[in-house]
Amino acid sequence: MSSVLEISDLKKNYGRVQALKGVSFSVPKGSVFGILGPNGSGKTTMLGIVTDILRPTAGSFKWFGETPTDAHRRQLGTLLETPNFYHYLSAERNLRIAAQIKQRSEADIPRVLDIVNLTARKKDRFTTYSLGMKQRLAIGAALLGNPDVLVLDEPTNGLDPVGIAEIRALIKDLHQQGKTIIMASHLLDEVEKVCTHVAILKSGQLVASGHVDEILAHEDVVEVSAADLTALEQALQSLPGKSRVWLDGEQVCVSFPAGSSALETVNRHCFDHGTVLNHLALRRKSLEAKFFELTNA
Amino acid sequence: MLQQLKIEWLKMKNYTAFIAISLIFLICVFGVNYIGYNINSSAQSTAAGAFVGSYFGFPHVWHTVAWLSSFTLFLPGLLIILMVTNEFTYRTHRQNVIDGWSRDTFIRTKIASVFILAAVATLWVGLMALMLGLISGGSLDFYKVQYIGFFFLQSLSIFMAALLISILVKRAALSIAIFIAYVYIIENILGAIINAAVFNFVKNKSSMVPLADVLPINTTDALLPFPFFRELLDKSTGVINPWILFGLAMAYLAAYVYFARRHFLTRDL
Repeated sequence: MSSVLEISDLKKNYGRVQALKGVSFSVPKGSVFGILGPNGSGKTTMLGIVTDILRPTAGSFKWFGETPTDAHRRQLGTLLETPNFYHYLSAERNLRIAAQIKQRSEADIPRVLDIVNLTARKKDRFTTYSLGMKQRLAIGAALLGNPDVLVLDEPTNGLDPVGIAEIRALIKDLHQQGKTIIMASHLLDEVEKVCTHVAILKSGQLVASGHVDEILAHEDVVEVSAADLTALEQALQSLPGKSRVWLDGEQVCVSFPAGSSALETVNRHCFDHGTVLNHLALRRKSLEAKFFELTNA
Repeated sequence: MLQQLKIEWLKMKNYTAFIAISLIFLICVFGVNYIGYNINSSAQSTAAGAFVGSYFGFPHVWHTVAWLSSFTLFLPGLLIILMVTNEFTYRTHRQNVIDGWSRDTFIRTKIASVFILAAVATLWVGLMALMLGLISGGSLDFYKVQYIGFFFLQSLSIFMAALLISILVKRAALSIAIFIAYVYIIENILGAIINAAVFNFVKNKSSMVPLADVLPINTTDALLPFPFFRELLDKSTGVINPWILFGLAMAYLAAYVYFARRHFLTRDL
């Protein structure tokens, strides 16, 4: 699989602060690549470098296997940090400028305005927009010209729950179409829900990177609950293939090696041992726990 | 470059301050010259009128109008500061680069816009001179039309200084304060200090030149001197050769462009 973006040993210092301390990874074509990290871990700095608005102190990167040029940037749809638009111009006029710079057809403007639900407000000045609308306009601008690669820094920033769900659906849809999406986020479940690959940054260093299932889930955890928790825990001790069983509040958890859990087996086993379940669910190892484990290591 | 200038035009054409300041500038240029013309006309109709002469007839009108109009140049200067600092305020300079302009394209487009503004301002001033010259009677004469060229040079010099200040300072209010203070106050004070020092050191006053004229804004000021009563002015000191002034003005222009461009190309945006 060819890589869209390759980063090798990127370093960036702001005065005495080392924002990036030598980060390397590559983004495979067609992936939804999440860059995960707490605030100030260097996510935006890294995206700023690969979009040429920040100068790296050391290291290099390649777009599509080539030395980066302006033409490469025109093939990306990028939203970096905040929506950047001319405040005194309408959405439509702002997008016209973006389209001209990207050398994309202005005929695509109605389509992207429609995707981000701003068609009704397209003639209004940017200053009159709410935070969520500004963010949606920025996503719309990134979609101009239907680029094959999208770079989205905190794409759901400022959006309401419906907006967040819409953007997730949009990202999944773009992934289905074979697009590559590079997404920075500090929201764990956002990354878990949409990403195929993940790189975890912690204070300027790469902690882990790879396929999301490998990085974020080492074991499957099944939650079960019944009227008599003690009997349930007892029954599960004899379940074949399990790793561990433990009581977690009002439910019992059973862990399995990654990918080997089968809910039917658990259900039948409990029933056969005289316990009727009132709750049965698969949960991956808590992402939050995993995240703390990785970033505190 | 035409494509980039078209984009720049898209940025500016719906910007209220751009339209307002442009109109104010065009009206002010007309205003100062019209007032000058009226004063000159009424002075000529008095008993002493014969000594005053017409400063609005050809060929003097080129010089008179260029000099009078140069006082309004801070207006397009403000426009340039807004045009540049807006990009920093809205962070659209980053977005332009993210979307696929090179940093060089961005800064070159701004520099080209400055040239165009200077050209438009000069064209308007040239038209004003032509019009007032024709109203004053007499036949069209292009002797002294070089002063319109010096006006262009002065516009460029003031505008590029505004561009450099905006690129370095990034904030509108502070840039405007520094621009106005430098162009209209600080350089005059510096000039006065330099000239006073020269006066104290040089024994032979007749060989003395106004050394303050080598300061950035003064070079173009000196090329476009006070146009009235030239024959009555103190001739006891020398002047700096206009070609030297011209060369210096060009050198300053090159320096403004060089430093503005270098700063934008090398820094984090």
